Amino acid sequence: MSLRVEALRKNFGAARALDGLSLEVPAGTFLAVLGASGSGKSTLLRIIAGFEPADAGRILIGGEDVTGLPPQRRPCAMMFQSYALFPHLSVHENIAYGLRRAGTYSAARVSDLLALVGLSGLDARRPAQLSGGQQQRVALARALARKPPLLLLDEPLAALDAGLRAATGAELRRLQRETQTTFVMVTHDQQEALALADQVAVLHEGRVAQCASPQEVYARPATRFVAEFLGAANIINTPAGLCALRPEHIRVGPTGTVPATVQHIAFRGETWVIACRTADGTALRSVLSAQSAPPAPGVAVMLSWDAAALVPLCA
Amino acid sequence: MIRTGAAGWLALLVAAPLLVVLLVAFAVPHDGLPPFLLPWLTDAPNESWSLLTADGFFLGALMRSLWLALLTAALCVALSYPMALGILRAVPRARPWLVGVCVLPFAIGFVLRMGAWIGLLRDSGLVNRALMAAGIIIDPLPMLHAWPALMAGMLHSYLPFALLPLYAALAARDRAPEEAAADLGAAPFTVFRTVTLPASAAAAGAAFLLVFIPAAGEFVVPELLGPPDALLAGRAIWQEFFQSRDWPLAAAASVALLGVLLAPIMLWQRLERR
Repeated sequence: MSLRVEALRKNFGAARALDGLSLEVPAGTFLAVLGASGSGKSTLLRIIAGFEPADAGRILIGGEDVTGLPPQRRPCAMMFQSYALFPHLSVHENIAYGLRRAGTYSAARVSDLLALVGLSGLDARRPAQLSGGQQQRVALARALARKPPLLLLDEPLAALDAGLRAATGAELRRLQRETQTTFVMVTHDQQEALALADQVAVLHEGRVAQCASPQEVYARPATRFVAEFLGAANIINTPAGLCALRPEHIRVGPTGTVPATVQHIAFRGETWVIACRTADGTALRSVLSAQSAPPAPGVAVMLSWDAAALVPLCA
Repeated sequence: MIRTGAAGWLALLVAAPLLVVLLVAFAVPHDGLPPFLLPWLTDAPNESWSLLTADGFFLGALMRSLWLALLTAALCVALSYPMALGILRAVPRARPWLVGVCVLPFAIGFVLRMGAWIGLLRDSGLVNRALMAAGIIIDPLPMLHAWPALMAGMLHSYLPFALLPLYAALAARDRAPEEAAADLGAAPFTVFRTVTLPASAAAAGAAFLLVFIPAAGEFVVPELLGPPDALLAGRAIWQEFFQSRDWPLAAAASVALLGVLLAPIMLWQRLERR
């Protein structure tokens, strides 16, 4: 089901969490809402789920206005960052909870869900007897049990260790494709957002700074904030105004158009990051393949880039 | 250092009096001062323990006491849930004030509080006079010295013992599972029944016992507000001690009551440790 958020406003006392945020998510889309901590992304999810009332604005799910409805009457399901499993219930009963409320419980359906998330046979365990990754899967199975047309995921991978995160992320993507569910995932991790989502909405100061495909937000950031938040692009002043310039688009060598001095270099595994300073004092970062020899700090180099690599920014 | 000090005080203030009571329970009644003879000073047999179970007098009083304590504790816990959850729904700034209002009756002396109930409920009391003035009744309703008045007094005296621990436990609880339950389609009362209640069961058990244990020995409230025929364990002990001056029998009854309450006390300690 599609999701439409219209001019949402929310203040917590004097603090403004959401400032007229609007968002449109077509049915079957995997949307990542990307923002720094405090950008209002969790508040947005809690308002869509119905846990917090909005000060102003509307929420439409599948074209239907749900703004005034309590959580239990909204056709969406939420997967909590802390998983929020019921500690006194078994894995089986945790997953069955929503089915029992709807009167559609069957042991076979719970078994199917356990198989879907790869936890077959763990029915009788209590949440405390599971690893973090297993708890995450139970939370996912529980949220998917009633086949919600819209699934809200609050930092679903944040509590997992790095090794598990990539594999679980890929599995989320697979489940989203298989179930054709609209996913709205909140995250602070740009790699995660770019890798998993069809669309990325970057939140800044309670509003959507840009909402586009991962390729688009990465290659053509709309604002200075988006450019800096996604991969820390260089921001340079040109006669045409402020522009973003990705480090990988800057060539470092003996020939070029802009003279600069190497400030320091850092090894990042696949690449070297070269921090330079131009004659007019602008700091620029470039990346070099790990196979090539990096210039030494203090050396004078020439930088160059194609005019097409410059992305003009608004504000 | 501190531990040994505490143990010394406990021995002096708790264990020693308890041992004296236990000793008196095995003594023999005697006309004089003190009104008993220690077992090794007399050949007369100790009868206090057999007297406890000889007729239904003490057993009946014990059963009535346990029943009153059970009723009081259950009602206190049942009332504390909506009160605690209601306070927790208020804006955070108002919560300490609301808790304060609930505990406010304790700022007034116990005797005054019971006196207020008597003033309200007696035949010429406020309630009866108001009802008669309004023409709803002609003769005063006999409200005092009855079970409803007794329960009102007991709840008034013991509610904070259940409310405060339950409030603390509910205030510290993780709200996310309740939100998850609502998100999965549970109506508010179903959320309470299936998530909030099981999650706070240990705290509710502790609150129940915190009321039950002292309420089982209570006899002033029943004396002032309760029905005259409802003899309770505390009152029976008091009578033996001050009226019959049978100290060994009173001591034996006290030890028996303590023995009966030992199980709930130990259960409470286990719940508190969780």
